[in-house]
Amino acid sequence: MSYQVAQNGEETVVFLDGDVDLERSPSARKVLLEWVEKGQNVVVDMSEVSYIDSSGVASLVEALQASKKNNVDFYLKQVSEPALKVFKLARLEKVFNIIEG
Amino acid sequence: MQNKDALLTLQFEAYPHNLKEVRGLVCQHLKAADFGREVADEVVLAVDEACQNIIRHAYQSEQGGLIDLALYLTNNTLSVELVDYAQPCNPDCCVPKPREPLQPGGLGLHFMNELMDSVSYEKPPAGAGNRLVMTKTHNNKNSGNNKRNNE
Repeated sequence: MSYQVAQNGEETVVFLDGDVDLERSPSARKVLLEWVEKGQNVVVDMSEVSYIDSSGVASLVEALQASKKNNVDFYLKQVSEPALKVFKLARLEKVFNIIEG
Repeated sequence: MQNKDALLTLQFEAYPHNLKEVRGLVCQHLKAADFGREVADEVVLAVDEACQNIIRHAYQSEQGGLIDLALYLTNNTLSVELVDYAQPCNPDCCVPKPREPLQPGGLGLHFMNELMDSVSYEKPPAGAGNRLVMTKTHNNKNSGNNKRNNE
């Protein structure tokens, strides 16, 4: 149920994978907020996300807002096609900082 | 909730851990009825969001509630019916309201209304609490969201 986390220089990389749904989004929310509130720059690798729903999106929005309060960077990386479709549906694709590489 | 004309009827307990299996079954039956991947994915997300609303708001995450799900296909119109046994909700709560992208709450309802042609509460069967009906009409079962395609 937990997500893999790695340190990459000054960034913390959180790897979301599989279905980020009502069952698993509380874990995603917890790990994202944990690192953001520690004052870490966070990159969320979403290349292996096969499904995300409103609860998963809400976890990312909450982490984004927490990153602004904590004055740290919060990026999404390699967003999978299913997740990008949902971001567009939520009109959030330009709200998140999305990097390809 | 048996109906010989239904694509799928299903009763399950209103727990988050059941939703993955429900999504899989809905997708499987839509594909068996020749719906394309894009349309199937859209309906699956709408069904998932509706189930989440039942779990979180109708049953208020209490244990033991049941959800009846049925999919019907009549000509080109797919109907999704979801029945719960919680306290009746205010029918106005499924009316879409303007929302800002970062606004908390209401995102699931926004998805349901964007992905389906209609979302409405209708009279529940005797003994039930709520009956949500969503429809989606398609001339081409392989093409995606009608609303966004028409924009």
